Amino acid sequence: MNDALKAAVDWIFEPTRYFLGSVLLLAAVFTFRRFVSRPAVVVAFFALSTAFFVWALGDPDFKKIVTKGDNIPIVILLASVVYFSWLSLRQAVINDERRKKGELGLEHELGKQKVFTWPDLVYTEFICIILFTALLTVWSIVVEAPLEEPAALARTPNPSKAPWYFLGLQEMLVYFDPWIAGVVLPGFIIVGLCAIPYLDTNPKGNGYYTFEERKFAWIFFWVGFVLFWVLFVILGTFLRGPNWSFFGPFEYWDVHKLEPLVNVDLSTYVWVYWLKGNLPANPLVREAPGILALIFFFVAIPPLLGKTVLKGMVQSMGMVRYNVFMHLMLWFALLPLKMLLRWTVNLKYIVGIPEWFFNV
Amino acid sequence: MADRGDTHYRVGSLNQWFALGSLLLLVSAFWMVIDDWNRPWKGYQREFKAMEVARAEAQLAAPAAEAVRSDEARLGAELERARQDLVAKKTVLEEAEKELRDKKGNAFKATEAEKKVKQVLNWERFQIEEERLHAGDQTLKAEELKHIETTLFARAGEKQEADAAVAAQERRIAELKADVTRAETALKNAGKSIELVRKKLDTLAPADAPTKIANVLRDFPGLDFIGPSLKVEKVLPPKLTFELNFTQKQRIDMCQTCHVAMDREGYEEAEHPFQTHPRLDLFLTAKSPHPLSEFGCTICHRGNGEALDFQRTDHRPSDAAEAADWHDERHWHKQHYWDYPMLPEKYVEASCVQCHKSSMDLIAAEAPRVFEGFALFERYGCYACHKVDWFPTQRRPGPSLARVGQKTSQEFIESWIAHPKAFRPTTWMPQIFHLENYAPEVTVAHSQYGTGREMKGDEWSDAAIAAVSAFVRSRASAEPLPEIPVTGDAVRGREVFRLVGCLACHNTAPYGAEEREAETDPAGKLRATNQHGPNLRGVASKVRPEWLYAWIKDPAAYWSETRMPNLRLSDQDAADIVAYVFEDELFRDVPAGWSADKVSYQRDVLEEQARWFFNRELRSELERRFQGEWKDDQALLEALGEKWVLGQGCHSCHSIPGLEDAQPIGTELTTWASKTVDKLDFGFMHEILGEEQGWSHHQVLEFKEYRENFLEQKLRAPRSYDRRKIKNPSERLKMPWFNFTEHEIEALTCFVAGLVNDEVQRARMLPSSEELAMDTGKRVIRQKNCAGCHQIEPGQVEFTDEDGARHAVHGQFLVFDEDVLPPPMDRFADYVAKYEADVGELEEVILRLLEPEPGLGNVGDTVVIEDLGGLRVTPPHGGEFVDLVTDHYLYSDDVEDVDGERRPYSEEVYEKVRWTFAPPVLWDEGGKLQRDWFYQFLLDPAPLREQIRVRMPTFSWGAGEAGAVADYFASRSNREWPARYARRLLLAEQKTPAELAQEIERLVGAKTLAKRLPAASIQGIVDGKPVETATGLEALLAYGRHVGFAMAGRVDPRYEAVGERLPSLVDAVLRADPDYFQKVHALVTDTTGKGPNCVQCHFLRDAPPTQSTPVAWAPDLDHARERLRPEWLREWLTDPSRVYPGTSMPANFPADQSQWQELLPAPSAAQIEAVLTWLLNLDRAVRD
Repeated sequence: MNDALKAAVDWIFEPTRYFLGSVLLLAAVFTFRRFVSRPAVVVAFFALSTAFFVWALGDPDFKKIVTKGDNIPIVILLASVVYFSWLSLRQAVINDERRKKGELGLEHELGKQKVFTWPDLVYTEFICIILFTALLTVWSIVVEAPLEEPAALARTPNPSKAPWYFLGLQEMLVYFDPWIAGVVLPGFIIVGLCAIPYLDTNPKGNGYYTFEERKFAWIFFWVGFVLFWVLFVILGTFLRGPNWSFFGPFEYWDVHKLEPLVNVDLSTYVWVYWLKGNLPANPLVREAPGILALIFFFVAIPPLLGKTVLKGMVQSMGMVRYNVFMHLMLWFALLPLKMLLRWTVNLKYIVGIPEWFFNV
Repeated sequence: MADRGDTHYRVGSLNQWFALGSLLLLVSAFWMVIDDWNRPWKGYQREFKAMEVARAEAQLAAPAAEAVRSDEARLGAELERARQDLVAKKTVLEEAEKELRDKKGNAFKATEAEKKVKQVLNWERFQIEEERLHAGDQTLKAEELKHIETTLFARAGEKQEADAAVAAQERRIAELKADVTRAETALKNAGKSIELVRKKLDTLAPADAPTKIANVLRDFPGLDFIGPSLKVEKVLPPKLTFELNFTQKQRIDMCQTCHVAMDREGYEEAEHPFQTHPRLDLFLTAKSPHPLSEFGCTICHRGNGEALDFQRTDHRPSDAAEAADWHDERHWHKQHYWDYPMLPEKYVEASCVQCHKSSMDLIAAEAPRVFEGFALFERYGCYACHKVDWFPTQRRPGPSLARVGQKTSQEFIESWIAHPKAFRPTTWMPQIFHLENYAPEVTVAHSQYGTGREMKGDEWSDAAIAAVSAFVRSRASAEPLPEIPVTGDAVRGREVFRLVGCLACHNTAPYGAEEREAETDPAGKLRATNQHGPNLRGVASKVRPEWLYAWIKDPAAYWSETRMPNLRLSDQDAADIVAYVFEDELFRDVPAGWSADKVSYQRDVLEEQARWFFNRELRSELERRFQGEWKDDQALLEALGEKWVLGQGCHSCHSIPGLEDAQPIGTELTTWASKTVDKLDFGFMHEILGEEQGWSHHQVLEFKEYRENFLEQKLRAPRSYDRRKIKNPSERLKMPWFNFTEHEIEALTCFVAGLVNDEVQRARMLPSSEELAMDTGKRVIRQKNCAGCHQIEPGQVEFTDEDGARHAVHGQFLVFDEDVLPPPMDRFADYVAKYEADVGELEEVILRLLEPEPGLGNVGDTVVIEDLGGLRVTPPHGGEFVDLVTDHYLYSDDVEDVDGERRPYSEEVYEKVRWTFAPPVLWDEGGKLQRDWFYQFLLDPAPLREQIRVRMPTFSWGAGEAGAVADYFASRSNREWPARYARRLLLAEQKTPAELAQEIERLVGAKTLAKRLPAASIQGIVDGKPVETATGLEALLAYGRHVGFAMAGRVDPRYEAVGERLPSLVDAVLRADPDYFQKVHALVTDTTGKGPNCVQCHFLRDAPPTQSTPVAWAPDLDHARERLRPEWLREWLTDPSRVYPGTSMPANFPADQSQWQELLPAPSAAQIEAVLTWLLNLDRAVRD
């Protein structure tokens, strides 16, 4: 029974299922948000999670990974992200209900436009500092610093992991060449974050939580942050082991575990599999399908969408902002697309020109 | 702060939160301070301090301390009395002291006056010199100069007088005070021993309140960062580093922080971490060769020296039980992030290898396990497949196969390859085929690239064996051996076999342990040295007679690297041995189940193997060859055989024509133990073992954390890492199965676990040239099995004498029962048990001393030991073959002598037979022999004792080996000399070390000797401890000179000239008395009873002795001048029984009685010198 359950958990946590399952879960949470935002649901969720956790701790491999000194904060992160996400959703749902009934939002109940810096801000901050200092002191006494082997250039640790907050970036390296995963995409994240105030000029939702009025922003934030950032941190911390192989939560981190990685470029699909010929010698000809696909992706999709589905958006944002926004979105979309292609058809590169170190 | 009422949060509740937060912060801060104050190592230090206080208090309360205290009281009273007496002489003393003060004043004045005059004189002299130079007149102011000089002399005289007066007065006062001073010194000396304890106790637990309070404050929580008494102890061993990031990081060892008493004597019985380190004479102490400050801890023990808690240091349990205890009590688990865990207790010697690469044989006694591993590594030839770049030999361990067809049959070769241990269970040849990854039920391959029938392990192995055999035979020369030229006599052959020395290296022990127990023939007994060569049982069913004849006549002709020496057998002797071997049933006896048959194989298996081995060739080409050049099985077998031989590494051990330069197959082991464990493929073995032994998940994983576990399992079952693996034929593991015992596995593991990267600087690892020679010599002695025939070192007996004193002395047991051989030293316990079963309780044994022992007697004296309970016997090293020889002589009806006659020896005394017919002992061979003669003798042995039938073999020496053996003995005698000197001196002076130490102390006081020498150091020199010898020998020698004790000098291990042969010396002797040599010659050769009649037993320049029975023969006197060292010869002539107790050579020149005055009127000592000079100049003294 125990073993079957563990095997089932390990099965669920395989990266494709884990990622797609999380997407579905997210969709379900939004769809059934009224139900989800009930306190009983979150209490039940935490009760069940705790029960699972307690049960799982009986497994030495699970215990080893979650109680590792530097992984404890990630466990806490897991719980706090869920809780605060739920809290915001709950407030949004309540606000939306109230608005539907014509009532004022929750924030109006406080009846105050302003509060005092002292004591309402500074004093509470001070108390938080004190409590946090006490907590850190106790933490440092109780939890030993996670010291590892002496560093040696010739012998890097296996797995070599980035700091926890960069594990999402490291996960991207599985799907992209370093120059994209490590330079271009993070660059767009920063650019995109900077661009938000200029792209999103919608004043709704300022100072209060609402879902109905800002559906796109909600979904985009949850997908971008919770799904791609937080869940990747968790994936990277708990589920990626030696050789960056995937391991279920109850699996022993065996250095010798093997995974078949027979990935194929798009050009091979087109020229060899579909056209039953040989790869052309000229790299540009060879990679033409991928290049065309990318051109279509970046050049054709924005106007196509702008003419059809997103006609309203073009009108409200104007061409320049719409195009900037669309390109940021397309870069972002490249990640899940490439992941899906990798998982489903073992696609290695859309455009793969190793001769020029250009691989997408 | 009051609640204003207009704030968002209620100030009251914020205040409460603030209070709560502050409280929590305070508590956590206190917790932090206490946690730091209460770190585990501080607990250990506190505990140890308490232990030390308790110990000091116990020492003070002990009866010895009581005695000292009562002594002190008595001496105190005496001092008081003396003071009283002095009071009585108060006025006299005061007067004298006043006088002294005056005289000192006068002396001061006189000194000042002299100084002044001297300065003036020097100045004046300079002035006058200048003036004279300018004036050009050397007589200028002569008067003035003289005047000043006269004044100076006068002043100097006055000063001398005044000083003398002061000294006299001081003596007078000292005399007055003499009683008091004496009493004071006595009091001080009496309390010396406990004064130290008192002082220590005072520092540890001071009695005065301020210090007490200060001490509490020093270690108070929160204040203990300033100057605590509990401190982290660090050692930074200079230049010992740790490789990190291609840089060398200084090692820092903090182990002593908890292991507080590791370098202190007296805590041997304490619990960890307070226990004293074993062998402080070797480790940690400043005097030892591995002082703590230079070596630290982790260079030997490994583990993390910079950690301060149990877990992070990566402590290592000795066994599973301890691991479980630690796990329960300390939550111990393997410190996963430390790559070099501590070595478990049983493998701690592994670390010796990293520095002692070139002195492994020298450290054999101190590091027995790792040395055994090293020796096994050499014996089994591990180095042949697994390169270890510094390993001292490259010899192929298996016999050459270049002419294997001459030696044995195809049937034997094939059965032997299949199951070598089925023919000879003790063979070193490993089993290569039919192992678990080719087990009968294992499918190895499918014929025709996976499409045809399944091929099982047995078929696969059989085909391989046939291929190897075919290949090896095809490469071997087919030239037949010549016939044996003479007809052998098996009865005589048996005697030759037994007496010539075969059994010193070989045995014929039965196969089973129980049968071995029941074995009565000495040849069938297993001894330490007769397992050097293979067991010869069944050998007649293996080899051909012509081959055996050729082999024993000249082994190196068949196999140039063989260790089997040439015994220079005559044709007849060799033929007799062959006849004996082929006629006696013993040599046809084979283990049950063994038969030599050709192996049967399947053609399709061969073809499939060819497909795997030649998989780089085109498949169609291969199939064509099967029908063409490989159609004949033989051709296919030979082609496959080469692949098998190269794949399984046969060529690593055996020389095979054409494969001389092929690469060995094993992993290089030079730095194997520095490899991290994740690079070792444990396969599924940890899980399989876990299932078999019911391990927890935790234990299963932990198994993979230690490289020693990998090794042990690899040695136990080399192919087991293939278990449950799916592998094709080319991937399967290849290491053969040696059938090591658990003991051997541990020894080998210990050695290989020591093969690490050098972390110790080269200079530290280079032994001195003398050490290097000794190590090489010792190794060669081991490899050539010198100990098979010769006793290299006498046995040692440790016992308690009647007075309760403990002795550890070289000696041998004597016959104490008629018709019984003396108790064997190597199996003494068995002997006692048997004696008690057969005869009754053993009450005493008689020990003959082989070295002087102070308090017991000189060499050759006997001691009766009655306390058999406290008896410890260390068997002698080597010479077990002697028993076989003496047995043969004493228990045979008659024995053939070298002159061809048969004589009975059963009535002879044991010792006479032993010294005459058996190989000699090599106890002090370096002190006895001239190094050059020894070296020449090893290269080309010429018979010394004509009657002896055991042959000193002619070895085939490697470069430098013979020299190393000679150097080894010389160096050993040189090293042992101080201990001999100390023992003799103590014996001559009839003193114990303590008494001698007191005497030396007194003489140091009297300025006769320059240096003190404590009793412990004297004992250390007596016991042969190099450290004590280095520091104390000078003082001992000075004492010896002081009392007029002399002993022949040390050996210079290099070339030594024999002073007695100097032409100038001979000339001087002959000038004094031209007939000198004639006189001595007359004395030596006299047969009328006027001289010692040396020629009765000794040959003299090839002239046989007058005594015709070989048992009395002694070496030719002509050998002495080139062979013996004069010092040794002098001792030998003085008293032979002190050199070789039991020898037949009489003491011809007793010191207490002058003899032979008619022929050479002189005292005994002068007679000895005369004979000595004559012997050493025999070539000049006696002209034909």
